[in-house]
Amino acid sequence: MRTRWQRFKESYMLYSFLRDPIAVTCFAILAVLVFSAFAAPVIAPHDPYDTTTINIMNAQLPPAWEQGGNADFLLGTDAQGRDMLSTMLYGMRVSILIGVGAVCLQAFLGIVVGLLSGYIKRLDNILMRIADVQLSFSTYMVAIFIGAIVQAAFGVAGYDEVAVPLIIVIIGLAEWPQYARTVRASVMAERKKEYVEAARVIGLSKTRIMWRHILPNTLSPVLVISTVQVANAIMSEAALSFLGLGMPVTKPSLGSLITAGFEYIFSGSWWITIFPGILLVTLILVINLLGDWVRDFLNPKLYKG
Amino acid sequence: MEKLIDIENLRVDFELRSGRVRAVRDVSLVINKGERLGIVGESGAGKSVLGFSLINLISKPGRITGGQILFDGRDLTKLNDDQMRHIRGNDISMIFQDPMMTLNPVLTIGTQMKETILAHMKVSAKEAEAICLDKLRKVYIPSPEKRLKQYPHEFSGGMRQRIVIAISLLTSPKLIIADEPTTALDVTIQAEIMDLLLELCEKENMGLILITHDLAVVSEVTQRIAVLYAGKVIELGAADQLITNPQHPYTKGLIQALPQMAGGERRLNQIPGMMPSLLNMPKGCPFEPRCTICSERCKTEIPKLHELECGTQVACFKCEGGE
Repeated sequence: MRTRWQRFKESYMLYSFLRDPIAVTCFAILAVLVFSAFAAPVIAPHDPYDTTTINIMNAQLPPAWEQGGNADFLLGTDAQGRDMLSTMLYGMRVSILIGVGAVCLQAFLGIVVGLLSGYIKRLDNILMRIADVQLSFSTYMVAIFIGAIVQAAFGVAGYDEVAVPLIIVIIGLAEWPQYARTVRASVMAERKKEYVEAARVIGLSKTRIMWRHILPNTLSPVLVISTVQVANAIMSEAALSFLGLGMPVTKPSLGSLITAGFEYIFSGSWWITIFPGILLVTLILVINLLGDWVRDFLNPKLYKG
Repeated sequence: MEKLIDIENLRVDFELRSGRVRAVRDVSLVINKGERLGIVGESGAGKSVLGFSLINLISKPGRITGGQILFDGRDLTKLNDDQMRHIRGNDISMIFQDPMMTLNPVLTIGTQMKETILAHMKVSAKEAEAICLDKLRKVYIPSPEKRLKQYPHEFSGGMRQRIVIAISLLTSPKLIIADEPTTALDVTIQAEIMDLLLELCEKENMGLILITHDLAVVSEVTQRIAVLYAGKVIELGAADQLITNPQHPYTKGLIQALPQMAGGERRLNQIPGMMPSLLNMPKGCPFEPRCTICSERCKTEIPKLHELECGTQVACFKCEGGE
């Protein structure tokens, strides 16, 4: 019996992956970014969450290679005197956490709704109309609305506590119809196939047919939109933070770092905005390019022999 | 002989925009325990609809609108969904045309087989696996332990159909409905699958309904044959009797249309015309417009099944003798 690892080594997926230099590069960059984000407490030179280590006298120091730079702060410091590199690593961790969390929530809601409305005709109309209503609200509008209410209800201190789960829920709720529509469309195509009929002939229950037989067959488009949606969610979070409705400055994400730095950009402290900006763009670009590869890989029509 | 399933005046209608289409028209058939019945007819004669109506899985907008199906003393047309689900796969199972399509491509054979067992029987996963292995051996799948862990695309067409058969055997059903089980396979595999089906039915004393348009195949496997035309049984009789001594002009035509090995390079006979549209049925015998021996009576009156001396039942005025 071949082990899973051996199977993986011989698989077409790995072969096609290794032959695509863009995919390999992107994967490598993403791996480094994700690793450094989650290893931030270990590898970051400073702890930006620990206010006792921050010295306001170090505020707005330029990167180490610039004049006036300090070797302690490789990429300079922000307006509070926090080390930019460490803050960015922590910020990226928050961004990725929110991105992945929001996509998990979206995917869960979207898949459940999509399956139900694709397979059970009676539910189709009502569920899809709810999705349409949801889609007719802009993500940001919903987010600003809920964000403002929660901020008012919990106060600024309380808001800091609930910010991460709250943003996950906001972005998750705003974008689930994307999944629901994709899943519904593939379910409608799958349910006419004979193996579904065969499953009914065997006497399996509706729930079992939906979850066990149809769902795995609809997962490839879900996988493709998931990669794009992670990038989207990170961007949404950044945009919300930029508008001041996302992560608080005490626990900055990449987006709130960019905003925080924006106030100082014209006074010459460009590094506070530019570095998190570059990191955000790289992160999203890499995820999107990997998403492209996944899409091409999962689309048999694009196989080039 | 004990009756296994008793179909009485079964009627299946499809409500379409263009009108009501009656796909199965007052069909009455009896299958005894362990008996093999063949249902033949050309495309659109209602063979598959008849098969699906037995397990109440006619696709919408089709519906059983009359008659009854007695199975084990219960009328299948009156059961609710849960009761019906219990019958499906448990007492009656079905084998489809294309084994490429009937297996779920993303689940292993083992998963799909165990699922069937667990849906109908109270056994542990281990016992379920033992049953799977046993049935796979019955359909002559070599090294079944290894095969259980494989996906459908790792099997050839014939193998897949054997696995489909194994799945239908899992719960030891009393009746198997095989809807053109060999059309998607090549000829040598066809014979193999048919032999297998025949062997299994005899060994396990299962009833079989074999739906096909291939007269040669039915005559070898089944004991009785029903010829379906435009949703009606027009001839019903013992297989050898029906093949060697067909009564109805349509059956005669079908048999003459078979290629003969010894026939030389003669053109095959064909039955002129087409089956009437189900939306626009002739008033009398449905075969009348194509019939070469029809009379005035055939145009106005629908003939009923009538038993002849040789034991064959036939729905034709000409065959009722004399007239």
